[in-house]
Amino acid sequence: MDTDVLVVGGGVTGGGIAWDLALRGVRVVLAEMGDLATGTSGRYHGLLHSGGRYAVRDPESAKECIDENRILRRIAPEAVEDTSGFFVLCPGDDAGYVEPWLAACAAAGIETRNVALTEALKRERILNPRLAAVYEVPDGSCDSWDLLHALQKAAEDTGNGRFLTYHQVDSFHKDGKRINGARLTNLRSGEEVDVSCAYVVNAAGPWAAEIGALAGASFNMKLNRGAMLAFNLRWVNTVINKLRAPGDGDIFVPVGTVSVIGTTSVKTDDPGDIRVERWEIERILDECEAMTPGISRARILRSWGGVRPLYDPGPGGDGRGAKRTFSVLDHAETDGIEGFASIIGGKLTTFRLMAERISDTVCAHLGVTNPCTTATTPLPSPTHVRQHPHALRGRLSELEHGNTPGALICECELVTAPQIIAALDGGRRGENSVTSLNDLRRDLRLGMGPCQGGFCAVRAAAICHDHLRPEAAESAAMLAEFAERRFGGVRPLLWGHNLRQALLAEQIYGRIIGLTDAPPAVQAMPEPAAPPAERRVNGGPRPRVLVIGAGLAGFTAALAAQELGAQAEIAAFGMGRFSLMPGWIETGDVAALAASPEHPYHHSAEYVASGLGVLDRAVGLQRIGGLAVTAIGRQRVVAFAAGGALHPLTANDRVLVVGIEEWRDNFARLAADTLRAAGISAHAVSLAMPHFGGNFDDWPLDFARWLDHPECRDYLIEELRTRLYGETAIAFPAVIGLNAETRQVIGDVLGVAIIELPTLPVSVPGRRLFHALKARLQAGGGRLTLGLRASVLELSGGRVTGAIFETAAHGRGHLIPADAVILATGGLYGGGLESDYKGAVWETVIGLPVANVPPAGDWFSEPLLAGRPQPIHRAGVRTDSQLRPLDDSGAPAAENLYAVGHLLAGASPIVEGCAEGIDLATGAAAALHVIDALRERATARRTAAS
Amino acid sequence: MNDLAHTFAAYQDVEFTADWCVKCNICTAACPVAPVTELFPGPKTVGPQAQRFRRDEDRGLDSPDKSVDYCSGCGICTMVCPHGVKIMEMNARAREQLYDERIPLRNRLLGRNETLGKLGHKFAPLVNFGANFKPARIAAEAVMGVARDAPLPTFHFTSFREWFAKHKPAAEAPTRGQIAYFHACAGNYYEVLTSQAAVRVLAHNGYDVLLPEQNCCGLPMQSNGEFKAARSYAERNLDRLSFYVRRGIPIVGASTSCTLALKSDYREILQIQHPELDRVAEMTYDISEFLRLLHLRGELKTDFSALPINGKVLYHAPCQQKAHHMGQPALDLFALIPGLTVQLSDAACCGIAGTYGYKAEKYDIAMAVGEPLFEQVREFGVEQPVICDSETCRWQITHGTGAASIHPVLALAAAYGLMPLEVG
Ligand SMILES: Cc1cc2nc3c(=O)[nH]c(=O)nc-3n(C[C@H](O)[C@H](O)[C@H](O)COP(=O)(O)OP(=O)(O)OC[C@H]3O[C@@H](n4cnc5c(N)ncnc54)[C@H](O)[C@@H]3O)c2cc1C
Ligand code: SF4
Ligand code: SF4
Repeated sequence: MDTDVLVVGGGVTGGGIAWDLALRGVRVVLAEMGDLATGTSGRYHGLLHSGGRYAVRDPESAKECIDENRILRRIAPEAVEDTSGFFVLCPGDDAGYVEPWLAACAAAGIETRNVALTEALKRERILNPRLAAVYEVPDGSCDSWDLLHALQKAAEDTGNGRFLTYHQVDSFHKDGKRINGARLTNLRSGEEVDVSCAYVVNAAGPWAAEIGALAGASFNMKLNRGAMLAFNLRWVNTVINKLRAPGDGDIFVPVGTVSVIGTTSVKTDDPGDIRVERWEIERILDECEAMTPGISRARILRSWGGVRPLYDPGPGGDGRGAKRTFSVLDHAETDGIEGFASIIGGKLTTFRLMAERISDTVCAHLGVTNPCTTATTPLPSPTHVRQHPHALRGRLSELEHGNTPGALICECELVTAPQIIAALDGGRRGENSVTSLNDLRRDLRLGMGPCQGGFCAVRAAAICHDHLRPEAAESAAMLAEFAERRFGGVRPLLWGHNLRQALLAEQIYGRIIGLTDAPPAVQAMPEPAAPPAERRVNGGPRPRVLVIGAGLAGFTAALAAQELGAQAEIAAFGMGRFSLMPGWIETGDVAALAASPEHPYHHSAEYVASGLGVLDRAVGLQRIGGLAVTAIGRQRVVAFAAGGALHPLTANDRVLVVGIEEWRDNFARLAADTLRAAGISAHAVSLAMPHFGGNFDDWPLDFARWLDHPECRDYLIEELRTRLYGETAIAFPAVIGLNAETRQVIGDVLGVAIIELPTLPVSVPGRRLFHALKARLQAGGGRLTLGLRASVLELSGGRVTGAIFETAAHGRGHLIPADAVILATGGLYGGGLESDYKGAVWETVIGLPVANVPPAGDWFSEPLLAGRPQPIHRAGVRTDSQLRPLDDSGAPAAENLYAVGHLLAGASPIVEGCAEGIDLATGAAAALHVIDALRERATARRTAAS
Repeated sequence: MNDLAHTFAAYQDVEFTADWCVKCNICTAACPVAPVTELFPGPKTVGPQAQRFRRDEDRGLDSPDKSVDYCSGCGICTMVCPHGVKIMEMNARAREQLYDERIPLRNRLLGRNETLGKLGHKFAPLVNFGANFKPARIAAEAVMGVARDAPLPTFHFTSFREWFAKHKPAAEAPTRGQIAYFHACAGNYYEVLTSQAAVRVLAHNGYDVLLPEQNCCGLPMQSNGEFKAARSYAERNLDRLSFYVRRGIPIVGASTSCTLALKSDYREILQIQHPELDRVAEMTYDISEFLRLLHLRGELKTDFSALPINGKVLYHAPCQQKAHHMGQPALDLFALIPGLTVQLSDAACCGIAGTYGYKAEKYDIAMAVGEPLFEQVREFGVEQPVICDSETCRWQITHGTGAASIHPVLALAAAYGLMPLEVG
């Protein structure tokens, strides 16, 4: 390959140089070892500097910034967003900085405008209302990815430029002291490519010193890494800078649909050192709190680091080392090497100027006299498929207008099944390199949204399985690896709602899909027990037992109390974990778990039977004590099924696995292959369902409601009948009717066992269970009210007299009086516990002390699917033996306050396989203790009265 | 308790709650509209998910998402979301963006409940004739998109205000102070009996009922995307009600969606800035909520006698009632009426959702949404009146089943012996 100039590095600097030279008629090849913008340019903060940040300390940089800022707005309007910027003086910061800063801005030509605080707050409502001053400057934000692709297109359109991505420069060809070419490796194919050229430009950013060394030139760089955090939402529309000498965590930039805060400054020697340490995250959030108080509660989508390629002229240098301008090193002058120059330092904002300067040097050597024209040449609009967050708006519009038909697989980033299939087909034909979930992520942004692939990964894995036909184990391994990777990316950010998301993913991957190693086999399992008649309320008015929380624990407590004669009421915010239930009841190894004094079973193991009894009377329990099948055909040990939805598999079973055609949650083939690999005879078929398919968003409940119509059920029966060839069981997604009868009839008519495979939420079996429990509660005179968030408990003389809930009338509460209160508000997933970035965990209703909180940063130290408890799992509320939560002194917080379910400390429910067991046991136990105590109290009162 | 949670008010803002969505789909499963039409992908999709792609600056541009228009605004999603996402409110705000200045005449008419009421009231016989006279309705559908079969209310000759001027009930002993009654448009023109029952019950319990100047709460305009008009109505109401709340006089209303507007929509959806916004919200009560509080304080008279209906009634708590987050106060009150057994409706929503079901393209959806409720009513028996707190829901129930439907306070007034149980 022959060219005039070889540019090393596909960041904005390299891209800018290629464009500049190409416009001057010079032939250029650009070599980039990764994809475009995978170095610092793709890891930067996104700010198009006005120069205000550098005005005081580094006027030269400031001037460069404001000039280039104006030019870029003209030539690259599509990559630049005119967000404008505020410099804000935070409480406590030195007001003495303001005057010199204003003067320096004026000197550099940066317009500043004093903004009244009221106006600033109107524009940016999350700003600190106690700011001392606000000034507006012409900041902007810039998408480096769009910018680089525009540069590539512009350079290639001249006919003089050529960009080689995934080409690494390994060595240079030399003729004495003159560089005249390079050897590249195509990292995708492994092929070696020789380029001969008249000149080499080193634009390798943080790697520049390494490239210099390859050429025999030596110079020092000061590598400096910085961390950034991207919020899930666009919190600000204006760039916010702190008005003070530059420091950590003082810039907040809106970028597309997200917003980014940063950064830090840490010395490093490694150009690839893109670590983000825990303290950096905390530092950034701490600092950012001063500008936008409360922002640390907002959800962070990802964190990343980048390395600043700063030039270090050494002790004998001209003292500009502290500055952020750039340097052109003509190695003919510095090292006596001809045909080689390096460009170091600078900022993204000044890339064009940097490119102009070094191109001038190159052209002087080559004898090219054409002047630089980049300052006046507009860049083309990006025509590539835009995969950046910006472009997602477009995806929504396309989806809404029916232009991207087919099932929606990734709901966050709006990726459809046909798009995935097209990408995989391309990979098969060798047109692209897409062969895995991870490739799909890069290509289509699959799994990049807030749920981190919790829903789409298994859907996409099933599509990959259907199209690429690997072994079942390979598909499962690919899915597991993808899940671990997505999870790894947010590991440092797991508190608050990100933590909830991770706990949700854990439930989906652990139980519904079953990728985690199964918990140990169920030991001796108690029979469901009848309510103990001798412990009933004996006469007098029915005591009012208020349960806060409508999960399984709350229902068990309320129903058990009701069965013992109480007037039970459940008030809840949301409706518990029913939506995530796979349809079976896991209790774990009760005796073994109860042996640990920390575990909720320790005080409740003997009530497992009572809890099972409550459930049995409400829905009918079916003893399994064996293996249940997950959504993708893996097996998990379970104790019972609620409502008889399960058939424990045996080696003699022959299973027909049925999926719904074109449904995004059709995992039938993967499930059948997985079962076969486990030695069970199984094969898959997909059924077309009228009215379904073609919709981008069919949900399990849609099918369930449909199948509850007898004529639809009969249609399914006939379809299934024609496909049965002596199978003993049909495995079907758990969508067979909300009405339990539907499933019963199908099984009876066809004469086979029906195995319901759990689905992604919302779980139909969970819904059935919820409805059955609710019906039983109401039939017994109990009440369920949803939408009530408890904000405080009413206390009097060491007893709780009621709970107060938030109402729509802000500031006024809704009081529910009660004789005893049972907290069943759930744990960190359910909302009974909350957490923040500093590592604090608190109980949300009355601030009970939370035990077992591991040190911040150590919450999720295990891999997602390791099958080992994460340290944070065991955080929760401690109780006495009657399940009364303890206050700071270790005494019960109130005489008649109880706590049950996942709010309690000491369990790791998914890993230990006791998710339902602890709800049932503690719910039933608390109810019995409540009634015992109230009965005694009533008796004592009666005795006192007589 | 972590104090950060309280310092950052903006973080509680409706749009920002999109951040809290973990995609669990509970809202999608609970939404009554999504399962009956393909045109609506459900709350998660049009709410927190689409919210990530909406931007203030795009106002007036083609909104990327048109399906949010099919959200009925019933609020069930917000109620069931365990993670605090204000989905319904988010959708309502997105609808503002969707229509923005391009509001069809039909929406403007439906939004002008009060104007319609005023006109209807003056020409009551004519309008009532028109309302049941199919050709006129068919024309209305063709011209304005008001569904020809949707339940239009019956206008009354005498408005509530006119009645009140002559028949204001005197506070009975022991007197307990003053109350400002917010009757709203429905309570003035269509649901005159309900308003009469409410003020009688209040007077019976010792309250001197005042009738502030007031206009439509603005909700109909808001749900039809006319935020500007809704805001001006809201501000006028706040101006007038300020007088009362500053003097510590509570505001009570029987139109549950209208009191909800005062409590929450003004802030959460219309984003009104008004010095007395919070105080008005805090001092506004739904009638049943107010009476239940009296009872908790031991101040409610309990001289109820059995109702002239045999035993059991069906109670449907409408979506707007639930959105008050005040429990089910009507149930606590019914418990005080001797011999009355109440069966709870198990249905999520009657479908009408304010003015949603009045739109031609949504009529069928609304009827399909309401079907489970209608079925329950039919099963229960259409001879008994269905009790329900919201007027449009009552009209829809009657329209869907033929059963009469009354406000809880009417039953209470009758049980107090203050007025006959009129169910027509
Ligand atoms: C934390 C942080 C925040 C920043 N924020 C801003 C900001 O807000 N505004 C702003 O204007 N600037 C900002 N910057 C500075 C800006 O990002 C950089 O100045 C700019 O991106 C540098 O671009 P570049 O092209 O010189 O380097 P890079 O983008 O790093 O490009 C160098 C490329 O060379 C490639 N390469 C290396 N070795 C080889 C080889 N052997 N063969 C082939 N290719 C090779 C690398 O893969 C890389 O892609 C920030 C920097 C950091 C670190
Ligand atoms: S219920 Fe709430 S958290 Fe769950 S999907 Fe809906 S909005 Fe998101
Ligand atoms: S407000 Fe009602 S109709 Fe609208 S999304 Fe929520 S549940 Fe569905």
